[in-house]
Amino acid sequence: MQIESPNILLIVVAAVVMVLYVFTNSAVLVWVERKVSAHIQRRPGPFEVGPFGLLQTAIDGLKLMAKQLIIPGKADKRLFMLAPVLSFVPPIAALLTVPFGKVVQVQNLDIGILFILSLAALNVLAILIAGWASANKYSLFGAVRSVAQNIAYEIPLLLSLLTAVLWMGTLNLGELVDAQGGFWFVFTPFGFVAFLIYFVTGMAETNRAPFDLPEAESELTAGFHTEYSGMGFGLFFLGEYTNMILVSAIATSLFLGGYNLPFVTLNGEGVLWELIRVLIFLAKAYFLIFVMIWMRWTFPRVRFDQLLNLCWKVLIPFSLVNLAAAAIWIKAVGG
Amino acid sequence: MIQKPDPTQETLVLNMGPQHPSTHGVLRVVLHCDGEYVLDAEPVIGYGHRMHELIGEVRDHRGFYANVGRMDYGGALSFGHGHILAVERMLPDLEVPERAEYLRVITTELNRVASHLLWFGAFLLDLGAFTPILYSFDDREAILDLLEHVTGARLTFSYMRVGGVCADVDKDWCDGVLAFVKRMRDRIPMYHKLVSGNIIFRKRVEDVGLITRDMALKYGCTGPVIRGSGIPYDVRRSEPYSIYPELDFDIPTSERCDCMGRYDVRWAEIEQSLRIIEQAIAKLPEGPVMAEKVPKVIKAKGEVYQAVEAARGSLGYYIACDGSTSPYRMKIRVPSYSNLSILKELTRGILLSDLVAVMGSFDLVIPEIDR
Amino acid sequence: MKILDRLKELEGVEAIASDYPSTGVHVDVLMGLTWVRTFASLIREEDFLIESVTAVDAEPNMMVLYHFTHPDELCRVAARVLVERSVKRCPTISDIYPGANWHEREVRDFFGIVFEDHPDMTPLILPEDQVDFHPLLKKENKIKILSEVFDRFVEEKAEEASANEGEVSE
Repeated sequence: MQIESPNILLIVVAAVVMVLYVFTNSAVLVWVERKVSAHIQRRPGPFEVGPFGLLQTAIDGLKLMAKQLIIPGKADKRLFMLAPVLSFVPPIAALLTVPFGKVVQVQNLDIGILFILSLAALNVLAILIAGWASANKYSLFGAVRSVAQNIAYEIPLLLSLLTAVLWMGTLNLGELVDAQGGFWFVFTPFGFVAFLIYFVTGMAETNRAPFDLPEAESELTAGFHTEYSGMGFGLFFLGEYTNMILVSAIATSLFLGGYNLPFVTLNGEGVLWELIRVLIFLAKAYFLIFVMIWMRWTFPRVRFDQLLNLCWKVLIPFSLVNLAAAAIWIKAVGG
Repeated sequence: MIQKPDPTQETLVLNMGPQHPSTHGVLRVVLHCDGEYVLDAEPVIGYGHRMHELIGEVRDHRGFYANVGRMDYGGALSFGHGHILAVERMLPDLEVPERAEYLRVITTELNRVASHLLWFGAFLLDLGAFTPILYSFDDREAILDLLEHVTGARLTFSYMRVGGVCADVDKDWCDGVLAFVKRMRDRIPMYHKLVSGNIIFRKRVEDVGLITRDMALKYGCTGPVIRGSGIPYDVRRSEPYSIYPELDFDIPTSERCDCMGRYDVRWAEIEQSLRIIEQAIAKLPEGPVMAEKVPKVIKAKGEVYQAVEAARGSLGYYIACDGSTSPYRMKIRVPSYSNLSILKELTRGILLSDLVAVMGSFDLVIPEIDR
Repeated sequence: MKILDRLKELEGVEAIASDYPSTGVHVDVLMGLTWVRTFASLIREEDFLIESVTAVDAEPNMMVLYHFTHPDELCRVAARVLVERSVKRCPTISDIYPGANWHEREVRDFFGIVFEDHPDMTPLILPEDQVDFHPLLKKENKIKILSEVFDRFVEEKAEEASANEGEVSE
């Protein structure tokens, strides 16, 4: 990939497009989540507003925006306002490097993975700030849980991504997708293990059930966002769904061959081909999201010590062994 | 005793409730936490206190009957059953028709199944699984439809009368009940498949909240809580009342003593209740549903204690009468009150998440505790 | 019933068999204030389960009433102890039966009877700042003589009135 001086105008336009995409994506995902959960629970879900209730989330968004933003008296006001923004902006920035198609990628960085991970790590900071600034004990509990959880789970997350990086020898997301071609990384045994570990840790990183401990509503009422109302809560909400698409997008690019079909590499030129590629990429990503939603509405929540035990005693050793095995395989066989 | 926080120790006082999703009403638990560990949990009750016992001394026996269903909204019929049986005990000349007793038992057992289904959903909700409550409400809805048909109410039933019940049932209703029993039997394996075998669920409830046999006796725990600790104490069998001696059913117990034991017991109880309903429908005799001669004004003297098995445990009515139309003293011994009092000892040193699981496994109904 | 025989051996405890069909109680016990704890320990040894502790307001004395039942055999024990209206003190059994803890606090809330050596007598059900509000105390025009309500005291009124008085003032 050639490196040119970044075109500021392009990036600004792309960023605006990306924000639009994130908003639409969240609106759709909220609708999907409500519909899927409704069908899992044998009820119709939203159906009143618009066809199939499609406009429900738009109305909900309007409601959130119209609501008063209440800041608790003893809260640290600046940090309190900063936290939702901090949880919302980094995933959008990270999405800029995701290769939705061969051309549809705003900026193909050589250190794409690293860039995404460093931005994703800001999420825990946002939650910590939110929990601390709220001056609420439940929020604090949520923040403490979140820090312990995210820091623990970042290790296996990194190790499983490292396996993929080691296997294909690049940090560049575009090249990672091209390196897989039709033979997805998940088809190799190392890739399969790494993918499973990545998916579990990814769910923990996005604080999705069954790992939604920072906001465990039956224990901590709403955890770190107990005190947030209106769009403060709305931004956390958007951030969560953006994180979901980000986690799925990384999984798709690194393990599921990006925009390629299994054993078929799509190299055609032209708008139509590109559209097909983007659609394939999104199909994979949204399928993973569907699995996340499916799990959320099926499983109970794990306990805090069980969560950390799972990470330190199972996921980290397994991902370490997996990484070492992959490294040995590459040395011996020449992957 | 609510301890003052000790400044030398770095503990956090957390008020769980009175508005909290997992306290199932207006219960407040004052927690002293060391991080996620609960050092001390002190329940604070009385937010929903309505002084039913004083109302019982002011109203006459029939007039108070409407109040008892308001205490335990989950299993209102067994509360009504206990009260009516207590009043009837004071009227030795009154002969309640058999059909009425059968109908009381059928409706009470239906209500017990509904109550356990409500608990099941709420318990899983406490553990963070949202879906099971909607499944169990599906079945509960079927029960409520049946009960609504005969009692006219869906939650705070006032079906029984001194001397019988207020409405008779027809064959269609009996068929509907049998159809429900069959449907529920088919659904039970589904629940077990969805929840009971789930590894996350089992890890959350196994070996959590251990109540030994001795503790259960000392604290006066009853119902599924004591049976989950291996003591087969069920008023329906230990102190038979109504038509229960004529019916064939088991008292399920579990030696596990933990939340899982109480979970198992409640599910086994649903199956036993279905058995009871089926037998009672088969044996349902013909005849009137009200006694012929019921005194218009009940003027009794003396004292009675009547225990019945409510959905949450042993429920006792102590009524002392001085010969006037209303009781001189009315005491209602509610099961959850004793069951909850064990919480302080049980939760010392456990995790916050386990506290929620333990409280969920008690099947608390707060208005019943507060009365 | 084994428990009846054992209770009859205690000198300060008068245990009689009660008519179960009409009262729902098998053993009716009347005891002096000093015997409450002995009685509770004995009944604890027999593995009884505590059902409730409550009180009744009456003249000339108030009555604290304990209910116990046995989980294995059909046997309910109702135990009464008389408490003077002016003194309102009774020994606690909350260390023998921890389940009595809340019941005794409830009795204090509703009747103002203080249980001696109870670990915590703060209001449980009523608001913490209403320590002197006891809703179940009878009003002047409503209160009755104990023997007018309870048959147990009718029989003994004639023969053991003096003995009763002696016990209470201990």
